[in-house]
Amino acid sequence: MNSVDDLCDLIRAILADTSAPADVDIEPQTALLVSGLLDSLTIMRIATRIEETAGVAFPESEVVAANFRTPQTLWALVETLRAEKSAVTR
Amino acid sequence: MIGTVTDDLVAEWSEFSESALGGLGSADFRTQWKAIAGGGILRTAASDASVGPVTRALAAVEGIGVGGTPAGLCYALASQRFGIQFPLQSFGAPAWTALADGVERGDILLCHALTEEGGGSDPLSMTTRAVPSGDGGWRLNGRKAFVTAAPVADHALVFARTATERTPFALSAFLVDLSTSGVRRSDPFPKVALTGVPMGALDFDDVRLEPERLVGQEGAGLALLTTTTSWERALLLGYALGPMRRVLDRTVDWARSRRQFDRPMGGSHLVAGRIADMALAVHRSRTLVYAMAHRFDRSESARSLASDAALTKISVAQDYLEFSRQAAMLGGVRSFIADTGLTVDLADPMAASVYAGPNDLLRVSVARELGLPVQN
Repeated sequence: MNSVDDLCDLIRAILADTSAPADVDIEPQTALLVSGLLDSLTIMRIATRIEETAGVAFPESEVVAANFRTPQTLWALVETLRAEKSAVTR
Repeated sequence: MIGTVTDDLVAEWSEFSESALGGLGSADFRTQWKAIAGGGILRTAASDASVGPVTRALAAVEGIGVGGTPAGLCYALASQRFGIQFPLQSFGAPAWTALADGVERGDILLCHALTEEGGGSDPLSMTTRAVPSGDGGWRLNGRKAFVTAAPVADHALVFARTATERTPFALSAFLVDLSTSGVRRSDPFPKVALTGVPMGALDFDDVRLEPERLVGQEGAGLALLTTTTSWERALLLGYALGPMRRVLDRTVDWARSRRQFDRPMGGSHLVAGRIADMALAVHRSRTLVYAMAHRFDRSESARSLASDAALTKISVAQDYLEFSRQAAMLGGVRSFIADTGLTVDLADPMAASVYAGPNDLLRVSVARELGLPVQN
């Protein structure tokens, strides 16, 4: 996963498997929390899929609203986690 | 995984528990708790290359059961160790760090205050709430019910709503000192299963919580809950392994020594087959629970193990019940008399299908994970 657009694709794919409204498109600035788009299971799935595809551990303590407001805020977290990881392994 | 090192650990813990509880048969819950905790069962041991800390803890829980520790105490220890301590350790909360040492020594007892009168499986419907008190702290109001160890615990991990809407981020978790003003515990509920550990309710009447009582960030309650329930479903039923092995051993002895129709009872193919089924239940349950311990030791995330943890919980609870049913039939009338040495408690294993997530609701979550359009 290399960009916020890849992350949008990931979220779109997960939402396609749920009962979320089909007409919502996912863009970097889409508000994810206002419309009840994400239920708890979907949020956990997104966190797990990010772990699998971005190569970072997604700490449970980061599963909070501030990180899930938009794909952009979530992408910022992924970049932070990646930076922390490379700082540790360097 | 299960191997000779694990078997040695189980044997060591079995011996330890027999001597630690010797003469304490009629002692109160906290005294027995402290006696077993004295062996270090609640402490995270320095792990060596062969056996990780979770597998070690599981072997300890199995071992004390094999040594004859009452099932209720095994259950309570497993519940705190796997359902609270390990998850809080991985969550890394300052509120936990302050308590960890006392908890690991067995001086501080914890309880998991999630369920309310209205239920526990639908956490977003909870009514207990914490509101900011203006100085960075919180005020907690509400009632938690059916909480294991509530009548005897010192601190509770309390889940409360910090937002009014029904959103995934509406919940937060707090570690609450139960001696704080405004906390009231009920009398122990008159349980008829797992009677060895008390259960009760906790009332919070405008309880003041300092800012550092919050576990993780505001709104992280559901994430922590996902973690604690995943640990619990994967490993709590490990408490049943020791008692099951004891019952299997004594059933084999009984079938060899009891004579009927001029031969040992165990010479009947029907009896032998039932005992083989009992061994199958023990084997399957041990294999499943130790495999989950191994995966936690390999640092797989609780979130990613949630579905397999649910499957493990369902399977062991079902096996434990069927196993106990077989034992009760083979013990005959003695299964239902208290001092025969063959008494079978069918309520304990039946309760396993209900606590830590009722099996039927777990089935729904498993099916949903498989892609079925099914909701709770």
